[in-house]
Amino acid sequence: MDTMLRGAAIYVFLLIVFRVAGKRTLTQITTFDFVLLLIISEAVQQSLIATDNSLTNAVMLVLTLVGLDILLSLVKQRVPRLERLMEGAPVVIVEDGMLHRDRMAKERVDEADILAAARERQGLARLDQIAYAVVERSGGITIVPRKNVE
Amino acid sequence: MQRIGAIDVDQALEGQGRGWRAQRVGWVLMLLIVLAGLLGLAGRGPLATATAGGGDAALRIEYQRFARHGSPLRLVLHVAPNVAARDSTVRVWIGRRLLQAAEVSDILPTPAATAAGPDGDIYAFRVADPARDATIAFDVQPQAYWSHHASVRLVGRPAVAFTVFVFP
Repeated sequence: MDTMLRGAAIYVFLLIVFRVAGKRTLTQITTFDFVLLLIISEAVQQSLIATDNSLTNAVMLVLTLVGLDILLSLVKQRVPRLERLMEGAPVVIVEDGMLHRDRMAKERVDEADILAAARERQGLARLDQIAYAVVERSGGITIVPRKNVE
Repeated sequence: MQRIGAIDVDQALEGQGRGWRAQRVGWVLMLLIVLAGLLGLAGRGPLATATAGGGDAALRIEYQRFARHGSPLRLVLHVAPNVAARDSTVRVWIGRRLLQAAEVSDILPTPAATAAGPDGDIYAFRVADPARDATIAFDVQPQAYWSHHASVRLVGRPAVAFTVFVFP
């Protein structure tokens, strides 16, 4: 029983912390972000397993975590408000070629990030080739090139 | 679904503003929790260290107000001079409630004798010089959560009580 409670407590705690940290926090954009994610998993692991290294404990823990995830996804499907609360919503930061600097500041995104996403995903070279850019719920930036909307 | 310019996106900006404000509040809360932790409110820090008994009492106990489940906690017992029995022995009684809430992992120095009782156990220690003070350390690991009252005394003397809060 202890394992399930621990699993649930950590699940809720991480959910809140990552939501509060913002969607851009750990998007694995840099090597360091990736390393930080590994350190967090290592820090949490000890308190989840405690001193019980049994197979049963691991099975219970995985079932609890995955079960919670399924349960929440079902609830989110029925209650869109909850989904928005837990996952946020996409934010349009470039609209018809115009930068929304206030939203960019709030989402901690700058022009360089937009250009990097444009190069990486669309092979675009300049800002004026971008019609729309959106910070998605995952924290990634998606780009709609000008040639796609004309 | 909303249409913004030429793209369909579920943006919900009005809720977004509230979300961003909540995020800032969350950052401040996280900072406050970290600061409280640095001060010792989550255990192991200046605000966590406390003393019970003392003054002209025979026994003074240094302990941590805040401890963590399963994490070592040291209780340091300072025995005043001239309280040892004629055979240079100090007898320490530890209440059952403490022994049930925490596992004793180590005792320094090793007791010369131990005796189990109905409401607590007695540990007997030889002291080198009864005319001087002696220090005894109990390393314990809390096994239960939340607030715990503990009672420790030298046999035949008033008990020293203290409370430890154990974080999960």
